[in-house]
Amino acid sequence: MHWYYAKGRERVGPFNQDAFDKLVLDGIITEKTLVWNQTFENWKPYGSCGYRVEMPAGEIVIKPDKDEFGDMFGLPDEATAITDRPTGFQNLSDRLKEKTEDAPDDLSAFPITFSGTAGEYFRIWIVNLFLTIITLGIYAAWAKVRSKQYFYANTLIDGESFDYLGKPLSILKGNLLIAGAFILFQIISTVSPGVSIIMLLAFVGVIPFLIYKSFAFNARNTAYRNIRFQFRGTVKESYIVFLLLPILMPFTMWILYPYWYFRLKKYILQNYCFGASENRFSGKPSFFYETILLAMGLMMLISMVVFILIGIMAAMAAAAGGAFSSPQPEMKMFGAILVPLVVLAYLVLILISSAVKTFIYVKLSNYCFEATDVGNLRFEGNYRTKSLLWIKITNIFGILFSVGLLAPWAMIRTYRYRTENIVVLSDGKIDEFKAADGDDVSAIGDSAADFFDMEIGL
Amino acid sequence: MITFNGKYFDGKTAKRHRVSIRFDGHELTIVDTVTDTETVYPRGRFRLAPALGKTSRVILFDDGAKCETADHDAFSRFEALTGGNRLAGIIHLLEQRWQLVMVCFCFLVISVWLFTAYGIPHLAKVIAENIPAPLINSISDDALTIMDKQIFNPSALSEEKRNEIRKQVAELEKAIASGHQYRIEFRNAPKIGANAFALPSGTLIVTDDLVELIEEKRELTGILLHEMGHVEQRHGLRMVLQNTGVFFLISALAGDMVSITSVAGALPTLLVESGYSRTFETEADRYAAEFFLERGWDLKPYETILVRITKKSSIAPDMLSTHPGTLKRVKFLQSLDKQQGRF
Repeated sequence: MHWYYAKGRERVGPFNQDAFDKLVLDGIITEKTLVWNQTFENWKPYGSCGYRVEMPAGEIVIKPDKDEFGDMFGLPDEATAITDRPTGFQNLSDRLKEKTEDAPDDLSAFPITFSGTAGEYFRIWIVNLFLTIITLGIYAAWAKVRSKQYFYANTLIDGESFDYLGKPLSILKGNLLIAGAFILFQIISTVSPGVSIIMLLAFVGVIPFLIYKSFAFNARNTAYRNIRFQFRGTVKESYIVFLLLPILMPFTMWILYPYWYFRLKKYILQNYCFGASENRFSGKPSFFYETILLAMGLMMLISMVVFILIGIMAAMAAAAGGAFSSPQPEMKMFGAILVPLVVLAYLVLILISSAVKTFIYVKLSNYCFEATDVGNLRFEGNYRTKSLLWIKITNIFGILFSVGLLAPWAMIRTYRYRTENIVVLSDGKIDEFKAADGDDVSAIGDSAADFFDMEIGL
Repeated sequence: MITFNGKYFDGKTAKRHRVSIRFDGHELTIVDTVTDTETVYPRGRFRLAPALGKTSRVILFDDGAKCETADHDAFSRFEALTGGNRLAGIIHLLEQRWQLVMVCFCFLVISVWLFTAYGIPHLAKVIAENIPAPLINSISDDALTIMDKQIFNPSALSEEKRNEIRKQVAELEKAIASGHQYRIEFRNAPKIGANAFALPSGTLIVTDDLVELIEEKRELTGILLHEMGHVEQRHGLRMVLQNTGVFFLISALAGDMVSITSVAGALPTLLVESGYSRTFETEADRYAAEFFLERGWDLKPYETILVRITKKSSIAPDMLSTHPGTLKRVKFLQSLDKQQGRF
């Protein structure tokens, strides 16, 4: 019998039975250390592997996991660190199942809760708008902080809320810079369109940097239990995700699209870290391809069916109207039926593409949540396409028919669904997360992202 | 002495400490209920976060720590004692009462309307008028180059006709004597039909179709003056400034919302911008009319050519169109005529 144990991501061994027993007795192998021998399907923590070394009578028990307490910050729990198992990589749902079946059950589930209400937020939103307008936009920086803090402070995990720590003055500075640049651009476009095109190209070249800055600013100013997040992505990666890949996409007939989506998610989820800890994103492009291709296929199928149906209906209407036999009056009736049918077809197409987009978003979000570890926190996403689609559609109708007044209600609804359907799985050691060193980030990226409505992220 | 319970987070680890807090007017003492350790912060080493909805009240410390309590009552007294957040407190009060929110909403609607109808146009006018003419003259004609590539063909007018019109423009420029320099370009644009344009730099463009429609010299004079009016009154620049202003306004209003609502935001923007455009057209008509009336000329030829041009092209619905309907324009011109006591 050959035994192996896991140290970080490395596999150590083989050991014979005696050597293995000694490792256990010396405390090198602890309850949590992953071990494996040929009789195991998969690696298991020693504590639940089914084999226990016999204790010499009267001597000390297995030493507690001092390693994990002493050096806690962000080293992923050994139980989650292994990727190269002898049996090859399994998909995530199996891995998760295995965890709950075999592993020591210290994983507690903390669903996220949201305590904000539409009524309360509506009032804040109106006052924000009013003050922003009468201060010629200066108050917008304070309005943003207030608004974000409302959402953050009402988002609770294990009874503790988030905080938004952005400073209004920094945001104001960023706003003024961006507004100034925009006005300058407008004036130059009138005076000299040639120069303005150069400015535009320069701006496109700067976008990935602004996005990077926006992520950094946002992360640094988000805190949970007063520990700030930290964005560890690089500027280079931002250029790949936001410039290089988008440029390449049309050349590959958009086959690159799922891969790009994967890189985008990875860039965010791997780098949005809590305090000094590190994240792990174990998602794979293949799942993105499966989901998106499936969705596209479904969409084409449904669209074809819809168009055929509408075509048949149009033909029937035409035949009934006798349009094929004689001109004028019948043509009018034909037109009267054809036009609404075309409009109907268009609306149905919009609905279908919206449903498909939501489907993709839901499936990929759930997948990405399970594929992301923040320190030793795991996540579970429970989004459902039907629910989210319903919320989206009713939101649009609500906003349109209320001339925008129902917008705060729509925002609260969407946010509530997206947060309350995430579960945080923790082994109870949230206390041990430590703060990272870091400097404040300038708000220019954040202002730019806001100004140009760059809704990137989760 | 104000006392309340809460939670303390030191900002270095995520550990939650249950604490009791007391403030004696000079210093704040935090007592860990588990370890009984005390931390003292003198006044000035912390600030109170303003109230927001029903969320817990927060104290932020200089050393990066944070304290949180759900005891709103005690915290309000604490806040009053430290004299902080007066302004923020008022804003919070505003947000709490529905009646006050409704008042804000009414003011909001009124201000938006005032800005759109008066504020932004006025500001744009002031800025544009203070740009000296030589600067305007140096504006490039890139737009013409682009239009030449896309929609214009070379004119088929005789050199004689062109010189005749060039002379007309020179005479008008001399009469206006504003420092703006004008030149006229001739193009053939069958897709556009009879039309005239002015670029902010002072370059005027007329299409062959328009020249063909002219039966009397004064008719063309009216058209030329209308276009020159656009330049004289800096409409091009004002339009850009006003559109930028509206863009900022709509962005501020629709800022939080995304996707469909930004598309919906485009519609009011378009309406407002078309409205601005029509105002400028009326101003240009007024400019031309006043020039005529000052010299005692009859406005009839200008009215006639407008009607003649419209008969040759299609008419768009008024709201979205960039020009007021021809009927409106003619009526406006006639009203100006009447003001002068002529018929």
